[in-house]
Amino acid sequence: MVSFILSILLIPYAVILAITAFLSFINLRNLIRYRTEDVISFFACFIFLAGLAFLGYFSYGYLSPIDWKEIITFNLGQGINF
Amino acid sequence: MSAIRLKTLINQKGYERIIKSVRRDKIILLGSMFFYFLLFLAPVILYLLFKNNFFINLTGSFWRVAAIMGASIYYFSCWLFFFGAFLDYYLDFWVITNDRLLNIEQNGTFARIISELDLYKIQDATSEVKGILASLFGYGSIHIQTAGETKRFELKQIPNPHELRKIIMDMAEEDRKFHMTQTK
Repeated sequence: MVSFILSILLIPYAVILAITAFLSFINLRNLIRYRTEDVISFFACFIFLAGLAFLGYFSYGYLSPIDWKEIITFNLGQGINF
Repeated sequence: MSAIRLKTLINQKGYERIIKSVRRDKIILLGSMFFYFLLFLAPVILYLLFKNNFFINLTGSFWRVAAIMGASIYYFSCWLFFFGAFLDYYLDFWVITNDRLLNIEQNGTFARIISELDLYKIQDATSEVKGILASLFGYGSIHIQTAGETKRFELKQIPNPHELRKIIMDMAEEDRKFHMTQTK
């Protein structure tokens, strides 16, 4: 039997979000450095950042009411008990 | 394209004139956008199709959290890859000047390739419009063969390739004449 606190799931989630943030930063830097049209690149930056903010807002909205201190028990051979 | 930005991007020489700058056809970007639109819709469609099925019954807190985090990561990744696809289109372009042909290519997030070719070295150019979509929307490729090189210079998925090949060959002829008068 294995027990773990639910908040442990936040660790891989945070790692993936950090990778996403890093790649977003590199992509934005590429766009700003190598852009040819200012208007298109500005709108592309704006829409991309707005999309990230929108996804972040909804993710936070769904994840914040969760009780992260809840203990999850995993019985080997029987599945997960809630 | 903004001429000032383009001049600095290609390190324009004093005597050089920019004749044309081209990107891949817009339909390529639209196709890619449509693909990501389907990816965005896919979880919603799957949920609607299987909402009464047993495995989607997310009553336990572990599975509910896993599903929310999974959906969040999926949509963040889709958005990031969608932006990457836009950059792949937007940051790839070819510039034809009266002296050279430049190929500026963004390969993914961490690779940028810039190659150039002196117009007077061009031996022959082939333009092709191949396939149903290419014929329908009028985009295609130009393959350029240069003297002494085995690798061909290629302009891919550009609009009106036949007209552009003619412009390139005319400019190459002009540049050859210019170089011949310079050497005399």
